[in-house]
Formats: sequence, structure tokens, C-alpha cells
Amino acid sequence: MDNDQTFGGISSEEIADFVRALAAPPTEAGASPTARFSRHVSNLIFIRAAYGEAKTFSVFLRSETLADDIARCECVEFPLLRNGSDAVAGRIWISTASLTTTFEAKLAWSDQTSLFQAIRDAGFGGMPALVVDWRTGMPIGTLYREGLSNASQSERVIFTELPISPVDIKGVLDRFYDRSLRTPALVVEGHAMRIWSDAGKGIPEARPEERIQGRLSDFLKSAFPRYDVRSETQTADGRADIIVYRKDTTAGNLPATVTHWVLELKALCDMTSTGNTVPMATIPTAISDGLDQAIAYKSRLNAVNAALCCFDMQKDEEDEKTLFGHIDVDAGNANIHLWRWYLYRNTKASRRQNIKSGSV
Amino acid sequence: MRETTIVSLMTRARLVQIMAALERNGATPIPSRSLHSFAFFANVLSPIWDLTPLDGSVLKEKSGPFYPALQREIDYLIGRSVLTVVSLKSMGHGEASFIEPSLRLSKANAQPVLEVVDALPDEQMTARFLDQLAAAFVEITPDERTDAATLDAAYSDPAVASGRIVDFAEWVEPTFGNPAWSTAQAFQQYMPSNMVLNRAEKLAMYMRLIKKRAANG
Repeated sequence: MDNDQTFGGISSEEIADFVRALAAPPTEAGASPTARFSRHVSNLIFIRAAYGEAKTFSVFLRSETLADDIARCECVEFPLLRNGSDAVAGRIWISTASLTTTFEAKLAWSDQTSLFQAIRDAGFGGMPALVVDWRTGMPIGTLYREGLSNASQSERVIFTELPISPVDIKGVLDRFYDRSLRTPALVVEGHAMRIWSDAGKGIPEARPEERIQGRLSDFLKSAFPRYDVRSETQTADGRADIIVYRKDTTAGNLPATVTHWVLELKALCDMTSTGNTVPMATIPTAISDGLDQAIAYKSRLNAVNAALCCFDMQKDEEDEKTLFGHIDVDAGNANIHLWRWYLYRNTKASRRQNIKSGSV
Repeated sequence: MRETTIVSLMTRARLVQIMAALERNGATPIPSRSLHSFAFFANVLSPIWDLTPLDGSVLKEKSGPFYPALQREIDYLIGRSVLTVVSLKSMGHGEASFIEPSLRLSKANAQPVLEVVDALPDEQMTARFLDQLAAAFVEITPDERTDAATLDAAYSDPAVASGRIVDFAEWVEPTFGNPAWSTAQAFQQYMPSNMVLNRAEKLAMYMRLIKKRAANG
């Protein structure tokens, strides 16, 4: 009785029953509005794919102020679109992050070029957009976080429940790096938590991995909306930084959770957050520790795949071969992918490297 | 600046933040009583995010929480065209009848306020909290949103009679003295051992529990 009083009008039995029935916390919790939007649209696309849609495009625009946006052109309300009973292909949709009330924008277009132009001309070019290409029969999603006016900044959204290949997840991580981490300016533009305390001096913020982890989780949630993403999953060997998993059923039709990916994150810094120099030998040790953790978590969680993801914040850039030379055999034996991204301390150095590598 | 003016400004700023979060998540137009309901959740659940509630207590009424100070700011912002009245509905009967407006935010008029508020470091965290709360609140059926607050752990505490004060952060600890906070923390003990809930998950789960209670009547 004393215990019940702690919870006011809710009994401890009610809490226990509720949590048991829920089984797992909602993946949308903590996600950004665009990640939530991507996942809600994905659920709808998954339902609609089973019905078969016309071989054309759908565009879903995320509005911050729906009433203002729908006043810009002729719109028709579809309050129950989220239920999946209405055809979505060949139409432009405007909704909010929760995809509750949705409106069809009646804009004239005939092909992909005129589709994008019509959206920009209507003043919707700055709204986050998820474009679905139905032409191949299997829907292909592209997310434009900054809207179609900035169409060069896009990300693939995987609508299928097929296993996530190393190429798929590496591609998402590469885009995450290009969009959010590559230079200190991008960290600010992406509204991410600061990773550098003083980039010019090479001083990181405290616990940079945790800062990267939160932003990366959100990116993964929008890129793989049919999967669940969790940070800090507890195992007997410690906490896995990020896991990507799906609820499934066994051959015997029993509920199961399949962990498809374990991502172990390491920020490699040659200075502490207080500005002290980190001894040189610390970096190889940190990488070795990261590999050990990735191996342990992969085993504990019965994961299909695992990767050690290193975010190199050192002054001098090292190539992957040099950085991972001391662990690549062990990693190969344990089937752990080794990936690394270099975080430039200023835009000039990043630009110079882009020119050197021929990517611009 | 007089203390009442500061309190009034804080309430006004919070109201604009709340309306922006509700707009973003598709919960507008919102009837004013549902807005008071949301404001209550924003107060009672803010300790989950280590935020200080704007109001640490509220009068317990059968019709749900109602904040006179918030209502004054609603009226003020309607007058300044920051909030727009979308429709009016006659509610209740006899002496208890009243006209209830459904409201939405005028983004153009609210934007200057939001820009100033969002530039304050503490308020960025508040904005994220309100966004997460609105995302969970919108999952409750519109008809049940007003009553949802009456099903909150603190508000529905049988130890507090109707007409008395529900105190969750005024004279008591906003954490251990707050049944809503305690309920959200209690979820962890029923989770699998490898799953450590973060504050966003506790918040979302709490609102799901309220949604379930509202659906069950």
C-alpha cells in the first residue's frame, strides 16, 4: 500500500502490466521531428506497397505550421491517410511529424523535374521532404532534410525489411559524416551537439563519442525506419554504443529479437577536453579496446554484424591501413568491420583534402 | 522589473513554445481546455528531463487542470494575433457553460518570440522536451486529451480530494515527491536487464500509459 501511494493514482500492478504488454520502449522516443516523420511515412509506404501503387512518385512534405502551409495552394484534407487505405502515388502530401492530419497539395506536374520545380515554386522548397519513387515496383525513398531547394543534400531511406548490408549502413554513416561531422562548421549547421571545444587547438568536448552517438542514432532511425535503433544496450561486458535490431519470429513462431548491427564508436583524440596532451600510445590502445568491445557485444547480443567506427580527431590524418594495422587480422577473424572518418579542424583543411582526392 | 511581470513573461514565452511544439506535431487547432491539459503534463513531467516546472502545483478540479495565469496569457496572445482562434464551441450547461476556443499559432507573429527564446541555452532543452511531449500527446485521441490530465498519477492521487491542491513540485521534491516522476522511473524495474531507459523513453512510455488509461475510460 505504501508503495502504491508513491505512484499516486496508479498502482504498481498497473505499471507492471503496462510495461509487460509494451515489451519495448517506442523507438520514436527521442527522435527528431524529421526522423519521426520518416518513420511514420515509412509505415504508410510499407502498407501501401502491399496494395500496389501507380509507377510514379509520392512526395511527403513535413510542415512546422500546417495551416500556414496549406494556405499557399489548393489542398484537400485526408485526415485518415495514416491508416493506409488511400493511394499515395502520384500525389504531393503535406503533413506534420506525426502524420496525423494530412493534406494533398494540388500542384501541376508531369515528371520528376516538373515535380520538384512545382514544389519549389509553391514555396515548399525549404520543407523536409521524403520522395518515394514507385517506378521499379519496390519503393525507393530519398529524404531531403533541408528540402528540395537543397536537393544535393539527400539520404536514402530503406523501406524494406531485408537485412542491412555493410554497404548500406556504411553509406548512411558516410552521409552522416559528410553532413554532420566533417568540419566544425557542419556540426553547428546540423544543430548537433558540439564535438569540438576549440577545434583550432584540437580540444574536444568531454565524451565526444556520446555526442556523436545521439546524432547518429537519429540518422539511423530515419534511414532504416523498419528497424529499431537503441543506444547503450547493457550486456555482461558493458554497454553497446548503438544496436540496430528488429523484432521477428523464430521458425517455431516464437517472438525473437534479431540484432542486425552493433556499432562500437570511438573518438580518437590527441588532446583531452581540458587541453592536456594525450600520450601517443593511447590511440592504438583505444582502438584495440574498441575492437574487443565490438567482439564482445557482437557475441553477447548474437548480432549478425558489428563494426568498430572510429572518428579520428587527431591533428595528423592517418589512413585506415596505418590506423588499424595492429588489429586488422583479429578484426578479420572476428568478422568485425573497421571504419574510420577524419574530423577536420577547419573548413580549409577539409577543402584541401577534397581537392587532393578529386572529390570536388 | 516587477516579479509579476517576469512571471507573466515566462508564462507567455512558455505558452508560445508549447504552441510551436503542438503545431509541429499536428495537435492544432487545440481546444483551450486541452491546452491546459498539455501545460499540466509539461509541468508535472519536466523533472524527468531535469527541468524546473513553471507551476509546481495546481487546483484539483473534476474538469481537469486549469491555470488562470496561463489563461490570461492565452487571452493576451489572442489579442496580439500570436494565437489564432480557429473556432468556438459552446461547452457545459447552465451556470457552468462557457465558450471554448480552438487555437493555433500564427507562425509569422510568433517567430520573433521563438527566435529569442530558442537562443537561450536552457530553453533549447525545454523546446526538445516539449517536442517529445507533444509527439506523445498527439497520439492520444483528440476527444480524450482534455481528460487525460485527470488520469495522471499525481492528479488522480486518491489522497488529494477534488478542490484541494495537487502539489508535485511546490512544497515537495519534484522527483520523489512527484507520483508522475516516480511512475516514470518505475518502468525501469520491469524492463529486460539489458535495456536502460533514457528520459525520452520514460516520457514516451508515461504518455502511452496515460493514453491507455484514457482509452479505457
